[in-house]
Amino acid sequence: MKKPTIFIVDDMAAYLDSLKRALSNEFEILTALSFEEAKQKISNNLDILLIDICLDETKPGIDKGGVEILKWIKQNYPDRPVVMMSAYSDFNITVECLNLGANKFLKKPINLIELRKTLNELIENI
Amino acid sequence: MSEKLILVTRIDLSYGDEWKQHWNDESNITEEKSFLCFGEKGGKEYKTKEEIMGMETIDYSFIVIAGNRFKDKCEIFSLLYKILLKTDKDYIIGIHYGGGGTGHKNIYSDIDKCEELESNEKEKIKGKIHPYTITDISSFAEYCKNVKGSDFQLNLNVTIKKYKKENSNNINEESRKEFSILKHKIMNLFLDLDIDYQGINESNNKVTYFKDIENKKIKNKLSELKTIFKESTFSLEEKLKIKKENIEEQELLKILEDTDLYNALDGNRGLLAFNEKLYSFHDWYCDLEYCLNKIWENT
Repeated sequence: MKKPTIFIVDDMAAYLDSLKRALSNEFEILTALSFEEAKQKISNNLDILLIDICLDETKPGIDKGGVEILKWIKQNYPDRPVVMMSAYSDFNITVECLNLGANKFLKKPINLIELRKTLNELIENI
Repeated sequence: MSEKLILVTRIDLSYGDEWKQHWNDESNITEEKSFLCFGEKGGKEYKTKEEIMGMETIDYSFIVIAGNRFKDKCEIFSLLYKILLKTDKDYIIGIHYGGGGTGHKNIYSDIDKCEELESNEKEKIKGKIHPYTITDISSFAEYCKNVKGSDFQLNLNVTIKKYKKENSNNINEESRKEFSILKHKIMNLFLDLDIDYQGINESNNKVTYFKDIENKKIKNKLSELKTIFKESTFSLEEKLKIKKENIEEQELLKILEDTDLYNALDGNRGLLAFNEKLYSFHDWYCDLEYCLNKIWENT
C-alpha cells in the first residue's frame, strides 16, 4: 500500500531533514525551502501540506511567507489539507491561517506523536 | 560557616534505595551523615509527614524527601519548608528531575506555589536549590562538598528566576526587540535536534538512527550557540549575569557537552543512561522555552 505523501515547507534545511528522518517510516516526505521551490513541486499527488509560517529566519516575527503559500494553495489546490506550524504563539496569525482554510495549527517545538496523530486524522478524512 | 544540611527530593521512588548507593559510590559526601528519609506511607526507613512534623528539632544532616504518588506535589515543598524552619543550618536542596518526564517547569511551578503559601516565613530560610538527575549525581555531590552557603554557582534557571524578580520593570523597548531575536535564534537552533531526539527515542533501532544524525552535528550546535550569545546585542552579562566566556559551564550546556552517545549505546546499562539523556534533552528544551518565555513575559 502506498504511503501518504506529506509536503513540508520550512526554510531551515536541518529541520526538514530531521522531520523527514522521523516520519519516513509511515509517510513519503517531500520538502521545499521557499515559496518559489514549493510552487514548482506542489501537485495533486500530495496528500497533506505542512507549512512553517516564517520562511525567512533573518526576519523573525516579521516574515509570513508561509501564509502566502497557504493562500496560493487554497486558490490552486483548495481540497488539499494544510497544517501550519510556527515557533510563535501569535493568536492573530493563528486565526488568520484558520480563516484562510488551514486545517490545523501546531506550535513549535512539535511533539512527534501529536504531529503523527494530526496527519493520520487528516488522511482518514481525505 | 555553619554546617550544611543537604536535602534531596526524589520524585520517583522506582529506584528504591538505589540513590543512597549512588551517593556512596560517587562521593564520600554521605559519610558520617545522619539520614532522615521521608516517604508517604512511612515504614522501616521512612518517616511519615506526621512523624516529621512532630519532631521538636531536625538534627539530621542529610534528608531525602521522596514520593511521586502525592496528589498535590506542592505538599512535598510545603513539608520541605516546614523542615527547614526547624533548622538553623545553611541548606542545599537537591531537586531530582528528569528520567521520568518531570521537568523543571513543573518543579518551579510547585516552588512558586509553595513560596506563595510560605511567603510570611521564607525570609527565615537561607539556602540554595540545585536541580539534578540520576546521571548528575556525581557533579551534584561534588557541588555539595565544595559550595559555601553564599557562593552559588550560576544556574541559568535560578538566574532567570532571580532576574525576573530584580528586573521586571527595567527593560526598554529596544531590549525587548533584542531579546526577542535572541530567544528566536536559540529556540530555532535546537528545533531539529529536538525532533532527532524524539525520533531516536521512538525508534526500535536507536543505534542506526543515531548514527544517521552524525555526532558532530551536536557539537556544532554548541559552537553555534556560543556564536549566537557572542553576537547578541542583548546584554546577557548585564541582564542575565551570564558571562560569555563561561557559557560552557552553564548547566544547560552540560547536557549537550556530555554527548558521547556512541559509548553510551554500548550495553544495557549504557542504553539506560542514553535514554535518560534523551529525556533530559527534551526536558531541557522545554525548560529553556519556559525560562525564555518567562523573561519575555516580564519585559
